[in-house]
Amino acid sequence: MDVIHLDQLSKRFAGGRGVASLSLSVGPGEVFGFIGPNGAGKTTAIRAMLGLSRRTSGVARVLGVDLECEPDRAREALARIGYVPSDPGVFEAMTVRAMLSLLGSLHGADTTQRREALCARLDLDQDRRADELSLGNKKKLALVAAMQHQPDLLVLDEPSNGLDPLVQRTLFELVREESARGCTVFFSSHVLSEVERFCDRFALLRDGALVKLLRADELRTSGRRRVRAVMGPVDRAEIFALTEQRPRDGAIEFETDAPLPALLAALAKDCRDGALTDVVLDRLSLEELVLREYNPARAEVRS
Amino acid sequence: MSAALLSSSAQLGRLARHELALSFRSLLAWSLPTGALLAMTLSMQKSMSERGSAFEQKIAAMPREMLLAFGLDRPNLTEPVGYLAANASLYTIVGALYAALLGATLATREATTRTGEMLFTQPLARSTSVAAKSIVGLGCVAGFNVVMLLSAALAYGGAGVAVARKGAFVSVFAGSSLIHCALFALSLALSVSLAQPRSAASKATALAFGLYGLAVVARASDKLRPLARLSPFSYADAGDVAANGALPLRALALAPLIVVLALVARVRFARRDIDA
Repeated sequence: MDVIHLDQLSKRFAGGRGVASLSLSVGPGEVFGFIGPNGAGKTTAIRAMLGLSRRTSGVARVLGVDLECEPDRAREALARIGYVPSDPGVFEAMTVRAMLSLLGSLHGADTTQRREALCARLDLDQDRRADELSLGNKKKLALVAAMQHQPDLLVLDEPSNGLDPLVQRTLFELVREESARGCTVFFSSHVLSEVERFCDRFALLRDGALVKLLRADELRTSGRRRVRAVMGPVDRAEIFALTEQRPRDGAIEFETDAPLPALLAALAKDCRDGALTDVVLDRLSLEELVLREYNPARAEVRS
Repeated sequence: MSAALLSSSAQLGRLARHELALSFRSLLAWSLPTGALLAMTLSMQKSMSERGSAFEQKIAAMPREMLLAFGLDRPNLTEPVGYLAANASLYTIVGALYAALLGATLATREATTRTGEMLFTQPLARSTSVAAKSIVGLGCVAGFNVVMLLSAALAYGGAGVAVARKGAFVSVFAGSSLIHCALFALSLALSVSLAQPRSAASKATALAFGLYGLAVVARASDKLRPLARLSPFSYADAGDVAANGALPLRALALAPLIVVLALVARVRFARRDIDA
């Protein structure tokens, strides 16, 4: 059974923005990246999926339950979900400990030990007033609240936003540990490098619609590579068969879909012939791939 | 971890304690100064009544519409309960304002503190949350009136004024409690229905003043009297209570109104989009 199943999910607002006909499935134990620029509809989709906002049409089932339409079963499902909002708020006049204790107590299980461990790892002072915390510390609090009951599904909406690099590293370690435990992770972000690092699959969202579903291994084995070669003064070279470009200022930079053996053979021959003096090979990153989807013209300029 | 769910009633208790902790300071901030003001006003009752006819003449010299509007036409101002009723508008309007703002604050707390997403992704039914808000809100409003009652009792006791009609004395506060509870429930139901929850406080304030104004205008003018039905202030007027010695029967209409409004708030809260 899919942990998350969205079928033609739509949420329209009076202003016209939202998500339209979003369909995707996330399996048990998967780490799923949900990618899109600001305003793409990521948070809207998550809120509709979690029953926080009413969808306009379509199906959204999480852990087999429609959280909006099945209130009797929703509590059981929610007890197995941990959610970190993109901009978490805090209750006024409460310490971090009191707020985490209140949220943990709604689960009915003792979460104290896990809470203490998480706060220690994230260096979160539980005696501070929650409404005096910085954005980064509020994010830490939300992370502890989402993980203290050891959920089966972790939904993270821009979780690293506001965290310093050291805490970001701890966050990624925690996500990996949760994943290793068997927890499904739904990771929404516009920082593509962090999603690329540890997600199994990605969904690219643009203007509220799904643009592409990608597997991480597809990306890793995709043929498109960038080649930057430093060339000698030559009229002919094997790599010229791979691109219409010609060297400028002694170098050439191009992208190619040529299979790796053919590319390496061409480079090796040019190197032996003295046509090639240096080369840098790079696979297109998720960021470039996404930029191409969102703004082909800009991506071309960058490349 | 297996989903060992906490019962809804236990969750209700925890949320109610949480809401009460957040609301208790404002209860003290509204009720203690108002209670002190009421006590100060009532402590002058003895000297006023000792001036006897001079005091009554002063009241009688006021325009009839004004006497009607503020309920000064019926009660015997030289008698403790009558004097209390004549001065009840002070704490009634302050209490109404408090009740309306409390309803707006409780209804929109998650929206204004951006805690809705975190709270309502816990294994918690929204109906439990709104029930906790209703219980705490109605409790605080009743608490405000208890402070008023104690302030009045202490003021009269301290000034050596004997209250002969104790039932009528308590009924004045029971009446204002009902008015304030109705205002709270109205504000709660209105606030959870607003598309922009952050404007709830200003709308609740306007609601309280508007309904009070409606009751005043309806009392002052024969032509506008039917409008009184639209305002909770007209159902348990302190002047009527003092004159009759008990709550008028129509005051009981506020009880089902409060229940209906609480149910409306519950339904609207469950259907509302949590966008923060």
